[in-house]
Amino acid sequence: MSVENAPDLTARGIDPRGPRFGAALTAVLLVVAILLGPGTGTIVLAVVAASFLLGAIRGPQGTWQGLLFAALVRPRLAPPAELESPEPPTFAQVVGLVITGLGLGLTLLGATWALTVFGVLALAAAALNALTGFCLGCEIYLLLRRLATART
Amino acid sequence: MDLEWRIAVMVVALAVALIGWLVLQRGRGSLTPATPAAAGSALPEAVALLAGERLTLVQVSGRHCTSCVRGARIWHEAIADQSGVAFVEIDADDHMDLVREHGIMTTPTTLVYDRDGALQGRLTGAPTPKAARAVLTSEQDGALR
Repeated sequence: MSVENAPDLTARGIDPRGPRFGAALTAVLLVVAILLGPGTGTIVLAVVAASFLLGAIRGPQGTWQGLLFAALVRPRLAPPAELESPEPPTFAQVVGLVITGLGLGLTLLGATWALTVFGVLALAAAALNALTGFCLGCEIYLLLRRLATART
Repeated sequence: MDLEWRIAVMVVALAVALIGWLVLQRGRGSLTPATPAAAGSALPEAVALLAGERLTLVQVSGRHCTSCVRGARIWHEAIADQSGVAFVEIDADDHMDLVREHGIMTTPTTLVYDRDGALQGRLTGAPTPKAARAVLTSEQDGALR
């Protein structure tokens, strides 16, 4: 039961506004990538995918967006109402990595539509996350888990 | 794809995402009475020992869930001055049978059980402080029974 686990998850928590700030920067980059299109846009998408890779490995606080937030934004804000576990936004980074990675791979293989299609998917999730605090993990983790256990 | 098309796809996708999100939010954060089929189903065994005398709130949380932390805080604040109300948080991963039985799609989902350990309703998403208090007071008025 997580009654015992809950406190130590929050003890090593991060400011929940950090990942949202990061998502806003990611969303802007994705808009730029889509507008530039295959070529220059592919490079921008690669930067986004690389950021997601950092986030998937180190957590969202370990990305350049997270470092920018800690250095420039956090000092100007009041303390957050609560800290959050880094696991949910890390999960979102993994999902972002899968989507942008697929888009990047297919684009490099010559499927230029992939840049727009996968870029737009990632953009929708990032924009929702930035604007509303939408939590991808809350919505899809249980569904994935239910699908996974249904098969076994 | 031409620039015009890329912009169009982008705008449409953002609009769809926003509408989808708004649809998801409908009915969230406030109590939904249990369906006739589910009403009265018993408190899960795992939390039976922790049941409250008056009301038991079982929040199904996930490790990949941001709103679960907020939900738990709001519930704790709401029940702080209440007697006989128990708040129990369980990990969905450890209780997939419960998740399936109740068709829980998202975390947090809070199941509300009355004094007899019978399911009265559920609340999907983190509650608003107002909705959390409403759950506690509606039970006092007997509206939940």
